[in-house]
Amino acid sequence: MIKAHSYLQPNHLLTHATRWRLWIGRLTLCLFAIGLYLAFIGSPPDYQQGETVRIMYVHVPCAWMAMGIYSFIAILSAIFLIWKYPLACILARSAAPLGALFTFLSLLTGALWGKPMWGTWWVWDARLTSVLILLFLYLGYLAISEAFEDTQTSLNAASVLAVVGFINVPIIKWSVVWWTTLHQPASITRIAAPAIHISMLIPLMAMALAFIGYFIWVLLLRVQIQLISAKTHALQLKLIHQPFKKTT
Amino acid sequence: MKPKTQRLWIILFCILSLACALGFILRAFQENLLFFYTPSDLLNKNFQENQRIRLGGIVKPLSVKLHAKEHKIEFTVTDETHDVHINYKGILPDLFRERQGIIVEGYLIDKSHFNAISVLAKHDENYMPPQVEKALRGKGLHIKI
Repeated sequence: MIKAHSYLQPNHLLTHATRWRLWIGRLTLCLFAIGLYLAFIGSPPDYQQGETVRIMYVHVPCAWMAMGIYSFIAILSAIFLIWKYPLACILARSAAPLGALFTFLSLLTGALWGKPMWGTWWVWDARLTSVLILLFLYLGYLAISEAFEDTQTSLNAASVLAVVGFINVPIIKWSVVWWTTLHQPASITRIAAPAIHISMLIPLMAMALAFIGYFIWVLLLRVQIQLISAKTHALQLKLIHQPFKKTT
Repeated sequence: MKPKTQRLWIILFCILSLACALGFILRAFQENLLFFYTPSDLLNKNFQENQRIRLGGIVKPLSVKLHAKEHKIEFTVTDETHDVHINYKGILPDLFRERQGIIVEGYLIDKSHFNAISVLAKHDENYMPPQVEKALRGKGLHIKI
């Protein structure tokens, strides 16, 4: 109990983060090597889409990460608003640019896939539009967290936005069920067996793991930078306010 | 009540009430959030002549007629209960073929005739290698497109 709690202390995290980060980084590189090999060389083309199916191995994990990271940020923001753990907010703030990146990539790869398969880059159907809203929520969160002169006010406002915006996540997930859309429904998270053949499921899962590894890797790095810069700032303030001592 | 508990309840209450509000809004706009109508909707709902809509369904087998000279194409879109005859002039997506789910956008002539100005192919959620698809078809297992 004491040990688990001590990881919530920023200082403790700072001393252990470097070691974890190195190992997670190595693991991520291995996962990317395996995932990219399987996705581009070691997997068959699709019976309908041909080679275009390979875009899915990037597109689907990106979309999962976009929604997963948003949920992560929303939960941490709620924890920050309720219990005022500063670390929760630092984690959320550090994860946001990564989430925005994954959302942008899923929209971009989706458009690249949509043109040859559907016959259009973009349509305003419920799925595509709700994911675009997710990108704007990320950008709004990032903008608000820097908007006010007082850091605490900015972080509070941004956390409220993150919690409120969480309503969009179930809308994205079930948009393809609730409304008629151009986007196809889920292949994996459905009650019947996955509608994706095992030879395509394995590269997809390898890529998804690689993306998760990448997220944790970069998140730890960003949190470390935040904590170190906060420490430096505190030290500078201390030096400035220290009364001048005469040395004899 | 401790301030922490109070904040927890406030946040839970906010999320619940916002979710309710949004739920009602989405229900109210249900019709506008649909990306396309099905051929049976043309029978059941009141559409005006020349109204611009999107219609989604399956290309009926043996219904596709190409007029190569005029770049025109005629085909039938069906949802197994109602057939709509489509006229189209333009480029078709790669996935367009018989039994393919497609979405056409254009103008209604009447309940079963339609002038399309664009055709989109709807991809399904099945992903498999060509050999597996062939094997499934060999066993007589129909893949729903």
